Amino acid sequence: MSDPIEHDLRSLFKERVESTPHPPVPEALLGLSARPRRRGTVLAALAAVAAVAVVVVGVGIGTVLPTGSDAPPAGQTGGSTGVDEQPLSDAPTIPYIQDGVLRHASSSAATTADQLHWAGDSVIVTDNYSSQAGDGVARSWILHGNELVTLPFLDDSVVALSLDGTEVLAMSHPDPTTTLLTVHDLAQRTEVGAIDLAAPGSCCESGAVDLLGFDTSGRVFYNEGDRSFVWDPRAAEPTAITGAPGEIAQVGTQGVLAMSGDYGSSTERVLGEVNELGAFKGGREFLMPDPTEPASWSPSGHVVAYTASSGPVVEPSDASTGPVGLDVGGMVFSHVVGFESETDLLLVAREGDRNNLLRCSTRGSCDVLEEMGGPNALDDWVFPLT
Amino acid sequence: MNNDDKSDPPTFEDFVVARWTTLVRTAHLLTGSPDAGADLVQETLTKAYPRWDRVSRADAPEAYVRRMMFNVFIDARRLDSRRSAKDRLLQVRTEPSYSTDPGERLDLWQQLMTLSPRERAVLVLRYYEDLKEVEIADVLGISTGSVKSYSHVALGKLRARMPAVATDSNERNPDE
Repeated sequence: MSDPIEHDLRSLFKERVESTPHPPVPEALLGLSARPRRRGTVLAALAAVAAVAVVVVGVGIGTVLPTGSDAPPAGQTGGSTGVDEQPLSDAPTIPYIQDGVLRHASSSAATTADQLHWAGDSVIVTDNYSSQAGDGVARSWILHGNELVTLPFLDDSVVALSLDGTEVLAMSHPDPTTTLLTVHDLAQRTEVGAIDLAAPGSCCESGAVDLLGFDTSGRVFYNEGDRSFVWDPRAAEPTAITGAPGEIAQVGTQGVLAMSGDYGSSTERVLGEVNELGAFKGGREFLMPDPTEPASWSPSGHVVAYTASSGPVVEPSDASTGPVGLDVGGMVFSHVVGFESETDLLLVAREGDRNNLLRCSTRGSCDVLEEMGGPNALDDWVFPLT
Repeated sequence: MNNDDKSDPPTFEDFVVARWTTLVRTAHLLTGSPDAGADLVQETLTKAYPRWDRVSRADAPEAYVRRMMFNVFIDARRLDSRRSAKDRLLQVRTEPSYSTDPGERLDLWQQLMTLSPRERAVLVLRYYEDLKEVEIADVLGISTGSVKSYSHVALGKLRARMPAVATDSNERNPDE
């Protein structure tokens, strides 16, 4: 006899799938050109059609091409240049995609991408659908002026940028049992290092790998199975991280944030460092109610924003002063978007079912920057991943 | 659809039409909503299409695609971690519960969504698809030991966060 939770899981799963209507097969998936009727998938479906079209017509792809001459620019407006739409009057100073237009400083370009990576001077966008088409064609682009230029080495990959924006990490699955990690130098377009996580003798089995990103030393952190690893792409093999209380949740300028445990309704995370031998040394602790919500750090790493049980707060990373609550007025806080500077950050909060983009000072006051729209409108906005 | 018929591998379109609902149901449980589940399946099938010759000639094309789907789901964790928080906020307020005890059911569903993708995947494969540990390990590309570990940790979290469920059920079924 199964235990109560197991019994409830079985019935819950059954009820969920049998009581909920599911979307029909998107016509785009069957090679038809009709737009899907389901909400929130227009860009995805268009990208899927684009990916299919590439295969069908056998377009040959060069090594470096602007987006407009690469995959069929379904959903794009005016190719990769000449975007007519005006940016927000008080636009975010971090790169962002709104309604299919990537904007950063004075640059803009049309794109179907749905992931955005930003570090240093590098802005990379990835079209998650076509990048995973496995057709041997790159589907990530780097922003140069008003042009998006393909990154030919990013095939079937998820990318992360080094903290200075000079190197990029790519992961690919040539087949379902193989995971390849490669680090490339963006300026020289050369491979810095690579590892096959399914190769005999390597540290890992295969399959599910969570890429976390780079630290300030250019080392790559990832989770595989129930273990966390650090890999210097200039060295041969990854090293299993020891001494951490749980799996690594984040890595960045500020160090490494490891999961620690559950305390009541909050999840504790410990900020620490990992030395050259892979040993974790913990420092200050955070209590965060949502185990999947990442913390956000200012560019220098000196200020952290996270969701405490009381709501969104900012405080010095070294906890030299206490947390300051971010005042979103009568709105319901949703999530932190990221820091624009050492003193300003962006977040999303709702008023009724309307989402708003807010700019908040680290002193706690917030102003509405833009009404983003209803719940589905959030899909039309893309901000850099942490 | 008979996936065992090696002499006549399924076309991509036939496979999509025949297996769409089954895959979306599993994906719904992984992602937390029917729409997100459909997106996950669409993404997976888009990835499978260019290599369909190889997929369709696999011993079990559906298992191949399903394994791809779980990889896509787990690989997308970083992106999901940014989006899931706001998605959950909306879902919690709009999705109905289908249990006779709405509050309790919704709580369990909410707690499921706080598990890591791998923990959730193991539970879905075990309690929805009724796979054995060795079969789950094959789908996820991990060892059976890891399957046991994820399952143990995930159930432990749910028990800790849902004490009322365990207590009530134990009282109803004292012999269990």
